Amino acid sequence: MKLKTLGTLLCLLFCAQLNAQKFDVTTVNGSISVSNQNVIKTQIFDENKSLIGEVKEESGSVKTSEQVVKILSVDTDASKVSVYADDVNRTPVVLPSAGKNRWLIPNAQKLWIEVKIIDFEKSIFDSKRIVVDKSDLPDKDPVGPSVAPIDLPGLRVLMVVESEMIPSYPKNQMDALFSEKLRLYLNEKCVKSKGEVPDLAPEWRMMDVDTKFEDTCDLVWCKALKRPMKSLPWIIISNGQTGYEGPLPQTLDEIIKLVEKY
Amino acid sequence: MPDYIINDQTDPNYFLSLGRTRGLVQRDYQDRFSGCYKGSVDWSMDIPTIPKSEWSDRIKEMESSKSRLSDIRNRANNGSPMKSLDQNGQGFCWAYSTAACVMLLRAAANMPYKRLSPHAVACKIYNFRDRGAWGALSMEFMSENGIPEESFWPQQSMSRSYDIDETWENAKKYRITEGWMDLDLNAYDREMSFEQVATCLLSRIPVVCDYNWWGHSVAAMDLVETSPGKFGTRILNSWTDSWGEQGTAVLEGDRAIPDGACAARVIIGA
Repeated sequence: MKLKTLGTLLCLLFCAQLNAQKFDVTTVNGSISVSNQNVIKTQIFDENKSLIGEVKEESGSVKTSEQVVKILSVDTDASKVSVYADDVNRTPVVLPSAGKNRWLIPNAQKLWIEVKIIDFEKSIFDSKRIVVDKSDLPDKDPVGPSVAPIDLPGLRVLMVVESEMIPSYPKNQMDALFSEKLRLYLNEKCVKSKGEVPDLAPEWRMMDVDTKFEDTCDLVWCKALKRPMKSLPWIIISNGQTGYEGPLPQTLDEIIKLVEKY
Repeated sequence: MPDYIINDQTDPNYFLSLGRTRGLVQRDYQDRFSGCYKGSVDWSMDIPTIPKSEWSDRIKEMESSKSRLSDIRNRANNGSPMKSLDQNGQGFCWAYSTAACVMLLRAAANMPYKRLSPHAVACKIYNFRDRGAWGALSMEFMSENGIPEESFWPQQSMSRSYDIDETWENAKKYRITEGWMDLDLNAYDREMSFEQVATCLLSRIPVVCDYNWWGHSVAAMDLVETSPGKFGTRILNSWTDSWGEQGTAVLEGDRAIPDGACAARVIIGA
């Protein structure tokens, strides 16, 4: 056999072996219960459930508390798995271990996590990166039809995305979201803002979930963005009396059909 | 309407002969290296690039649904086109490209239409001197201070009388707040850089593109398939709507690959 052919075969075998390795990174919502007989640690969360303080006090009795967390799980045959997390300021964050190939992700901030797997014997060398955002309690359901998510008269629609993840969203859904047809439809159906002419913008927005607002949060969109969202992209529809909050439908027709109900 | 094409045969000096000014100065990498800006996010941590094999189909679908940034621009001013800005003979293109991106982002989010004043940003950075720079410099300024509306700082004004607290209080409403990505890469990685630019444009994220061949900084709006398997960008210039096709042009071939690029993703909400 020619040397070149042998090299190609070996390369193919090596690549096939690499491809055969399972490497999945998943996160699930969860909570942990913390108890301590001598020291009670109380963590304080703000209305957005961001950790804003921590108090420790001595105590002789057993106390228990429950926390919401995410659990990072790595499914791999590799012998060594390393996890590195950075917060929004690129400060490293240590993720506590929760058993073999599992880590607890504190539910207090957005984190960028890199998972590296290495196994020299099995020739596994791979890494994956994920972004994990804080989430609300997993038992919160979308607002039912009897509640208006936005307490103002008239049809208002807010579509929320994580803009850095748009490339990985279904392309049909994104085409629908930015399409002229949807924009014209919402322009026609939604109430107009009360700003001076020509600022009569129809009251619908497409915003990043991390959009900030100046000073106070008295704007309708600021308040709406603070509402719990289980996943992204998300849609909030309100006519002041009733409404809908849930995942953004996949197609243009489905989005329009949903808005038409209100 | 046919596109105004700029390709490898286009002589950049032709625009100078028409009295069009530019103002790009190549980035000082010793002082401001890639990824050093406050709030910038490393690309690899955030976004998977959209593979080139998908570009053609995605472009066709975006054209069909009229969901490109250029389509959004055409209705951004309460149903009418958002007029392109005018740097008016001064070398502030590097502030105009970023301002155009902020206006496009606001249009995509359906925020009220406001014309912003890039001269304010450039004057403030260079103490009212007419000097060139690169797009990321104005991006950094706008992420910290924002950019005022033209009602607070008239277009093309170099007057210090507008440099007052009220102006910069207004400018805060137009800050770039998060995750703008520094796409600058070394020259040998420029193909990768263009993949990132393409991914942004296919995601409807406008990109500030600096072109050394042109000595100019512009806002890229769309990825365009110029011929089967070949891609370019549709840019929005700051030479008024009388230039090109309503202020836009399509850059083809190597002319489309930027020497420096960055993109704002999130701006203050309204």
